[in-house]
Amino acid sequence: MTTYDDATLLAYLDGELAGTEAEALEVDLARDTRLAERLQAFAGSGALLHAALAPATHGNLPPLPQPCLTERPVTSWRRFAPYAAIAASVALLIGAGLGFGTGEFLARRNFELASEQRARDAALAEATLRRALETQVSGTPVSWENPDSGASGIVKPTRTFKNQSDQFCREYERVETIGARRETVSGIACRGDDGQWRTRAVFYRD
Amino acid sequence: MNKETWTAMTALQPRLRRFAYGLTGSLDEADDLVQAAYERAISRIAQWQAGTRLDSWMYRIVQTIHINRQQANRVRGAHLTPVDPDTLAARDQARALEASITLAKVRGFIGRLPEEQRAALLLVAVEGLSYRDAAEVLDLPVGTLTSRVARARVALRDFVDGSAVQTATGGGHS
Repeated sequence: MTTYDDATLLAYLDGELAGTEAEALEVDLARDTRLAERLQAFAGSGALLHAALAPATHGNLPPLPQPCLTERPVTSWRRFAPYAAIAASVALLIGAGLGFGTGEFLARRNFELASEQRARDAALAEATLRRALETQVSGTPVSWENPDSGASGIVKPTRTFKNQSDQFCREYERVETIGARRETVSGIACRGDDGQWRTRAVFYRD
Repeated sequence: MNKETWTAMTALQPRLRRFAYGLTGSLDEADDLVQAAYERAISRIAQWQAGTRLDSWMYRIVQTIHINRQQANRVRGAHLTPVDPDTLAARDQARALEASITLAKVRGFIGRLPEEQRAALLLVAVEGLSYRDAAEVLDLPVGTLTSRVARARVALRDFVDGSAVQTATGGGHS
């Protein structure tokens, strides 16, 4: 049987191994448990790395500096050009007097509204996940939708097992569509003695 | 900048924040770094070539600003030593989630990695970039990048194997 060094296992894990080489490795992985364990050790520690940095992708994101976008409603400016020019200079004066422009105010307000919706999306997704883990057999998807934000998602438990502490754990998949973005996440959650499901690992598949 | 580019750029914020969190070890510093990166990206958008990867370009900006700041700190002799997450965890309630204490340990490990291994590891193992794309972001030959990633991952595996981290996966006594 071929022996594999760590670099090869890692290349396989990162999808960097060429087709035939990857296939040969998969054949060996299926019959060599020691080899599979070595790969699992890398995959497992990689999952922890993911989970350790996940807080950065959750919760509210701070507002970003706003660029000057080229797509503006220029037509209305042209039609009212003479007035607009006066209005603009007045607005500039007012803006300067107040110490900040209305653009910043509007951007901040939009951000607050957006993050409120994002928080609702997250709460719905969490509640649906808990319900699915508690009540659904593996393979049955449960969906949620936030009509206000247009975001939606599907949660599906995929496998159930017991960990070394004799707790029930389940692997699950989440697909979320928020705006134009679609994110697929798989994770593992375990049911504590208090009946609460706690996520132990997440894998983002961007 | 047109609207599509900006939309694509804002969609990257969570991933850039995660990368910056891995680099700096603190969410506040990460936000500050990402903010600076967006400012620079907005002012230099003309330098981005449409059709090339926007995410690689942004990761590169984050990395560049981070390195510049590190150097500035070193010059001023104000190089910050990372806070030991174990002492932070100890201050928490006794019943603080086992998992989150463990994850703090993993973050501590990331913080102790040599700078050049850290960025390589984050881009490949967390951000999911190919070896080639990550090498481009860091301006390295692919071979150098690959061996840095490998060294960091072997160290990570040994750290996870050899420490109490295992409790996170549900092991240990109940």
